[in-house]
Amino acid sequence: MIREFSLNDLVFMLEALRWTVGLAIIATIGGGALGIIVAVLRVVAFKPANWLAIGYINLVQGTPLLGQLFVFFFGLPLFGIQVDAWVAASLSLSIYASAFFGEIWRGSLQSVSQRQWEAGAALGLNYWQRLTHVVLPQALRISIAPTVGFLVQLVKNTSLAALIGFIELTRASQIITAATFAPLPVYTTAAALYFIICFSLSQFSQRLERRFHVTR
Amino acid sequence: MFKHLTKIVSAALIAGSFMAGSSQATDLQDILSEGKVRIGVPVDVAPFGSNDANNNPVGLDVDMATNIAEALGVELELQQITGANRIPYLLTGKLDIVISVMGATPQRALQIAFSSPYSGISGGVFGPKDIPVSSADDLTDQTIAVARGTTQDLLLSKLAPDANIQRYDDDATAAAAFTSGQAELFATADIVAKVMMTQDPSLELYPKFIMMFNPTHIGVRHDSPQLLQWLNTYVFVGMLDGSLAALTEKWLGSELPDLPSL
Repeated sequence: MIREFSLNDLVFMLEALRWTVGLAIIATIGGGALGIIVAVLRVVAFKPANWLAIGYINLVQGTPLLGQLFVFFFGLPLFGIQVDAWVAASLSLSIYASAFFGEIWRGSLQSVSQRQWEAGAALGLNYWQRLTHVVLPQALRISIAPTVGFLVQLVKNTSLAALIGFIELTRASQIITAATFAPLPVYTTAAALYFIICFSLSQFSQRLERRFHVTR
Repeated sequence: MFKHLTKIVSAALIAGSFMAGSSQATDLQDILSEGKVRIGVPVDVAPFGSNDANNNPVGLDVDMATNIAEALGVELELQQITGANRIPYLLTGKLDIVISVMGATPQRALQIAFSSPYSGISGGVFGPKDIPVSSADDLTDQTIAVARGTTQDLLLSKLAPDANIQRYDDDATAAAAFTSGQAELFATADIVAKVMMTQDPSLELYPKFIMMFNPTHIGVRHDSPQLLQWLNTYVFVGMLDGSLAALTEKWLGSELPDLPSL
C-alpha cells in the first residue's frame, strides 16, 4: 500500500498545477475588473459610493477566503442555487482579489500628489485629460510592485480551493504523500513548482518597473 | 481553527437544510431512476483510499463504492473528499453516499445517518522497544505523533489527556515526524505501522499498546431512509457471505471481528 514517489506522481503534480495557474488567472481577470470598480467607487467625490466600497473591502478582507469558498460552494445550494466548483472558486477568488486590488489601486491613485492635478489644471487640461495623461500613468507605475506582490499571494491562496474538490498543487501533494509516506520529496517538489511561478512573477514585475522607470 | 470552522459551517448547513426543506432529497428511487450514484471516498487515507502508481483511486473504501454501485446496478460517480468537507458534501446533496473511514459518534449522527459497520481499524501506539510504555497510563513526557482528528487522535486524547501529543495534518506527515525523530512514538492504524516496518526494517515501530478496534460506517443523509435501509441490507448480506471479511483481509491484512449491527 505504500509506494515510491515516481515520475507518474510528478506528472500528476504538473497536471494539478494547471488548476493552480488557471484559478490564479481567473481571479486576476475577474478580481482586476471588479477591483477597478471598487477603486473608482472608493475615490469618487460621492460619499455613499465611498461608504459602499469601504464596507465591501472590510467585509471581504475581514473574512477568511476559506469561509467565502464554503459559503459559495456549500451555502448557495441550500437556497436551491446549484453551483459547481468552478463557479464557486472563480466567484470567491475574484471577489477576494477585487477587495485587495481595489485598495492597492486606490492607494496608488491617491499617492499621486494633489499638485499634479493642480498642475494639470493650470495647463488647461480637463478632468479626464488630467486623469488619463497625468495621474494614471504615474499611479500605474506605483501600483506595479504591490499588485504583483498580491498576485504572488493569490497563486498560493488557490490551494484553499482544495476544500471544494479541486485537486490543485497542494492537494495533489497531500494525496501523493498519503500514498508514498514521503512528505519531504513531495512537498519540496511542490515548493519548487510554486517558487518557479512566483519567482517568474516577481521577475516580470521588476522588468515592468524598469520599463516604466518607477524610480525616476 | 480549521476544525472549528468545519463545525460552525456544518451547524450552519444543518440549520440551512431545515430551512430549505428536503427539496434536493435523493433517495433510493431517485438513484435508480437516474441510473447513477454519487459516492465520496478518501484518497489520502491509505489503505482505505489512496492513489496508485497511475493515480487511480484504490483502497477498501473505493472497492466498497465500486461494489455498491454494481449491486445497485447503476453507474458510479466517484468524488474524492477530505476529512473536512465530507459531511458538507453530503448535506448539500452533492453526494448520495460517503464511504470514508467514518466512525459513528452520537454527535456525528445528529448530522448524518450511519449504516451498520462494514470494516474497521484497530489503532495503537507504536515505537522503539526501549521506550517503557505498555499502556496509556505509562505515558509520561514522550512525544506522540498522530494525524489530527482521526479516531486514534480522539481515543488517545481521551485515554491520555496529559500526554504530549503532536498533531499533524495526515498519517504520512505524522509518520515523517516519527522517522525524523521529532516524535518518539507514533499513534496510527496497526496496518500502517506493519507496512512501514516491512518497507524499512530499520524502523522500530513495535506495538506499545492497542487502543481498540473501531468500526467504520457508511454515511447517508437523514432524508434518504430507503437508501440507508438498502445499505444495511447490503452490509448484512456481505457479513453473512464473507465478502466484507474478504475485503478487510485484502486491504488491512487482518481478520474482521464480529461487528454488531446498527
